[in-house]
Amino acid sequence: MTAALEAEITVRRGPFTLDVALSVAAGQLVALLGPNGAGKSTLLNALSGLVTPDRARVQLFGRMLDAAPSRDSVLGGRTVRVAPEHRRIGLLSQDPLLFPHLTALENVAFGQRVQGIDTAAARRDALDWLDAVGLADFSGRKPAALSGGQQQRVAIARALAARPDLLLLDEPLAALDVQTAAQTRRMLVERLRSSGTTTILVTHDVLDAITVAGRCAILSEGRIVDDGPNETVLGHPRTAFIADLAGMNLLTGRFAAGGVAVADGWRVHGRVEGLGPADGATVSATFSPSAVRMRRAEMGGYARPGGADARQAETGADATHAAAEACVATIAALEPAGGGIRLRLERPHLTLITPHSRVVELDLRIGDRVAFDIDASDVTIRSAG
Amino acid sequence: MTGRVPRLLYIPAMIGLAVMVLPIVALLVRVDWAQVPKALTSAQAISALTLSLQTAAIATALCFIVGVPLALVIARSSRRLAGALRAVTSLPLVLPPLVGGIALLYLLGRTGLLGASLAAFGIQIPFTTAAVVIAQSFVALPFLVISVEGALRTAGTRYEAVAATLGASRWTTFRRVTLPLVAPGLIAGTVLCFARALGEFGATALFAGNAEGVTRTMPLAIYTAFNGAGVSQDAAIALSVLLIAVAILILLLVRSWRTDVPR
Repeated sequence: MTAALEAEITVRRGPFTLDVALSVAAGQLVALLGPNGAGKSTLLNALSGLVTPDRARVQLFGRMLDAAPSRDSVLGGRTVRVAPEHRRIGLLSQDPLLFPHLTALENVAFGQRVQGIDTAAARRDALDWLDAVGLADFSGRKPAALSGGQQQRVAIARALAARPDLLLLDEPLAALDVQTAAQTRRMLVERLRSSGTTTILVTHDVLDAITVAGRCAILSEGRIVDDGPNETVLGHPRTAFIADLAGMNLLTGRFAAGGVAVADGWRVHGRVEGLGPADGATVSATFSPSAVRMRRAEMGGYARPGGADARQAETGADATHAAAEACVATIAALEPAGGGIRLRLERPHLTLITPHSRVVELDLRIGDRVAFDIDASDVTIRSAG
Repeated sequence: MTGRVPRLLYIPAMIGLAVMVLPIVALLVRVDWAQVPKALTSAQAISALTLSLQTAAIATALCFIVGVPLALVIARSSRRLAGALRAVTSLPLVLPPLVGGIALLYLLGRTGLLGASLAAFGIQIPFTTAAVVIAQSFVALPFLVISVEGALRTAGTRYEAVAATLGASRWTTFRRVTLPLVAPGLIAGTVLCFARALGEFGATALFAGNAEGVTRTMPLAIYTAFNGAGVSQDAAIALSVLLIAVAILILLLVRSWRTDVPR
């Protein structure tokens, strides 16, 4: 695959700096994930030319869209800034922003009309696109007469009908209810695949990344901290943010005696992936929230070899007690989760999922202390960094 | 749900309403309806009405041509610049029209700032029909600019950004997205501008004078008739009724066009 997009962008906004280098292959779908304020929307706006970057070098299918002479460049070079309307980069946000004075059909035909394609051809093509998103019967409706989901589908058709070289989707499904989002997601994947549109999808929802894109880039504090195939980035989370996003627990520490010595003074055992790391190497342990068992701290801690255990206690008599002390955490939040309730624990920071009945049975509240245990067979240990 | 209003407030509210409505009622009561057709078909009345409609229409067109771009510039300026421009734009609104008339004389009069140069080319503006149009534009322009600028600011730039990412140039976006989006504000502003131009008196009287057929618009004809120099008070009242009718018609038009206003 050839690179469709080659972008290096720096945008400074007060104390915040976005500094990103990104390369996307032709026809590739990249999911861009990151916490709020990571700079995702700023990156999309800079790519589409709506925000002026402080420094940028953007090439799309061989066309230079942005080039700023670098200060240390001997040759200097000239500054290029292609206007948004000439970049052939489409942008779709969670707000469909259909032109309220135009019908669905006229909205979809807009891109081709302003690009000089004659009215009849543009309208025929627009009708095909409306058909492709399942809204051919609604072509004559004004946006106000369409539901939120229908509006977003028209907006998707409008963005694709303009034949962008690169499509930027900024949380396109975030404003839709769960059912509509699912339908729209399916439709979006089909249309993106069949049109072969090179796409960057900004999302908060890991499901979008998994179902729509094959590649994941993680943006944090203005920088891309991880980038690669979904299974690598999400399956082997490198940061707490990604782990949280992927619904996984991630603990880092030093490798010692076949386990991860986590900073708080307890050790997690698990399957070591790849070559065994040297003692003292920085490693990470990942495990699913459903692999964590828990009970109230007053009922006594878990202390079995293979599970989370205490720092080696010197005397056998104290071992059980020490383990109980070490593997206790405080409940910070209780949230609904598929198949039960998600408990967010503090000190150490862990999430676990447990059936509703268990929460009721133990009468768990925020602030309660629970003892927990993780089966070593559910834990994967890898070299970090 | 309708909000609840403290009962006590109904009293000043009704007084306020009466202040606006009672004078009109008093005027309408005083009308000798038998005399109205004759008064309105008099040569002076028709001349004044024709001149008023023509000058107000030209003034409105001029205001539209310069006012819409000005509104767009203000709406898309930085906060500070927009504030300054908005203050300047509302100057004719708060200025007594008579002062506006004097100011126009000192700009375009024979010895005025620009008038002196114009006089050198043999162009004289004061006391011509052109002066009427300029005086009307001066007082009416803020109505159009403020109305359109408000609509533009409400519409925001997000639709324009979408149009750009779909490949529309700035000019195409302005024509096919921005203008249609603010159509209600555009129509309301234009109609208000026309109404203000039609009723303009003070600046016109000072800057354009009161020559029948040249600068004597409806308001000046009413003033002249009322002072007895022209026909009679009855004629003045009949002409006033006509202006009121035009004003009400304009308001109704604005209301039926502005679909965003709850009825």
